[in-house]
Amino acid sequence: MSLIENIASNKLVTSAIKDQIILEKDIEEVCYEKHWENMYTFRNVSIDDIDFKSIYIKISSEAIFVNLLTNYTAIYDDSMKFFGRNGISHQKEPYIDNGRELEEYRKKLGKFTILNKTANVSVLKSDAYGCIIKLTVII
Amino acid sequence: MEAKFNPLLLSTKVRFALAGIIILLIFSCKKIVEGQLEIGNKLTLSKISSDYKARLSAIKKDFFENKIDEKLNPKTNQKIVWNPDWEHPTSQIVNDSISYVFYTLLVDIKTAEHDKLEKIRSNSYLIVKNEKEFFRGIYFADSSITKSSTLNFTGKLLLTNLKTKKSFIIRYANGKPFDNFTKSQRIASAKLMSTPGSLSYWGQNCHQEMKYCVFAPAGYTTCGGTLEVEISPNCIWPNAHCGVSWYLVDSSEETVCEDVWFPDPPTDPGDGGSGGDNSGGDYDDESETDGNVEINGTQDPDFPSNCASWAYTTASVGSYQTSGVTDMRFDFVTEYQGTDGKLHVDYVIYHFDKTLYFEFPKTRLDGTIILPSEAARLTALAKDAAEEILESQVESSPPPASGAPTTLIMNRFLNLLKNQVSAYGGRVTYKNNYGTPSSAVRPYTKGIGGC
Repeated sequence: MSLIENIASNKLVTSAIKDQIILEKDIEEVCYEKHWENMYTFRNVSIDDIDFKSIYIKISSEAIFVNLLTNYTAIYDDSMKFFGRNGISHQKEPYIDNGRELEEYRKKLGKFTILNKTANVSVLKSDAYGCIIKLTVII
Repeated sequence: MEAKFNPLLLSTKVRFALAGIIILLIFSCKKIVEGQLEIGNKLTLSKISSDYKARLSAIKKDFFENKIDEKLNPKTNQKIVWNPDWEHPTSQIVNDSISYVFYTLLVDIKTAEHDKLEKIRSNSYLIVKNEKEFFRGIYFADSSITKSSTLNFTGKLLLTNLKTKKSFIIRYANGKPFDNFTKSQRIASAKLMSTPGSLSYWGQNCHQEMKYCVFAPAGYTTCGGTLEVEISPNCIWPNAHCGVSWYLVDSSEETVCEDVWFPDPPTDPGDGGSGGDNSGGDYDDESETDGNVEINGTQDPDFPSNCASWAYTTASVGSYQTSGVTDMRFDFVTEYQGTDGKLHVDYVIYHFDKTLYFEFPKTRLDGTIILPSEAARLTALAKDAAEEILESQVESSPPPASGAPTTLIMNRFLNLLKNQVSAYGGRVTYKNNYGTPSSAVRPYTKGIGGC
């Protein structure tokens, strides 16, 4: 299974994308912060042996957002291995933080079908935060 | 023989002269009346008229005094009630002298699953011509269902005069009405229109009956939780969509004169079918959107919005905290295959020229307080979400090769931002409704630390 399939099979992600709701009973034993209705940050979740520091999920009437944050930057560097695609890479202008240049890269991997829905998937990499996998499902 | 003065002849001349003067007077009177319409840039109802709101109030008063509401609603079916959305009209002037005001029709209805009255938006309108003629307008796209947007509309408008019950079909292409009438046909048609009891110019094309049916959902959809009605010109039952089935709530048969010329028809409402320009309410006008676009220039980082961009301060009145943001911007990357067959990548960034004001509630529904820092964090997430949705939309449906008008994309983003912020009960506006002080107006920034 590819990483994207493993992410989709995570109970929380499945609920968000398939049912468009996160049930309280599903998160009783998970460390999380609830920002608003259907808007959460879950902490320390492991998927496919990758430790994610956080998974941010937001379900709105227009789209579902799933952002997964990890220190494991190999996901960006070897996207073919993890997603079966190389994608298109972009390097953004370095961000200056206290005189230090922080580089940022983004790879647009394109559309994936997840749970019968279409998701745009991007991977970002920067020394500022590590690596982020972004899934945007337009409703 | 000397010609003699003939008083009878003179009298005839005088009579002709008098008749000529009278005719001239009649024409000049007519000219004055028409002139009032032509100089009617002053007289014609316009959003910039100083008495705009007062005249809208007069339209509303007329509507009820003339019992137009009774003509708008079915007599036999009390399950639904149509009401104009008086708070959010749009207005337009065609041919410099004819005004139209559009009010989206809202439907009060009891859905099958929820035994309570729901208010549903529709894609039909109360259309008021020159502040005195009331029409019901239903836009039918070229597909059979009206759900499509009325922005740059292509299809037909069924326009029914609510007093005379005369109905007209007007054809549209890309938001503009069109017809194939000759000048003489227009004149003849207009004459007949003003003749009481006359219905048509071409008898064979009149008296044709057009059915339309209104369908309501049995409950909320599972995708988006919205409620909408569907109007079908052929009474085709809509397919089950997003987990809901449909039931018939209203139907009507109209006598339609399809090939009768309707003078000075309105253009499309231009609101995407979602309601008005809010000039009567407390929203603002997106036509005010102004900004610029830069392609392949300096890039913003992909870092999230910096919460410090929103310095929320408690409004002196109401239950809001407000902030202003200058240099609001959004960006995206597009990839496309050029005519050279190569993959091209463009970086596109849009900047708003005007300050955007954000109004955020001070408390949650359960009464707990929303601190300014939390409001800022949620607003930052809303902005980033709007940007991501826009980018996904652009990927799915890229702008034309010739490029999309800047304001079109900016308004699309603004609508997404409004929707995202409204999920928290907040609002985004160009207007400083609550006197946000300059200390609470900051430039938009991105950051690595978030809030």
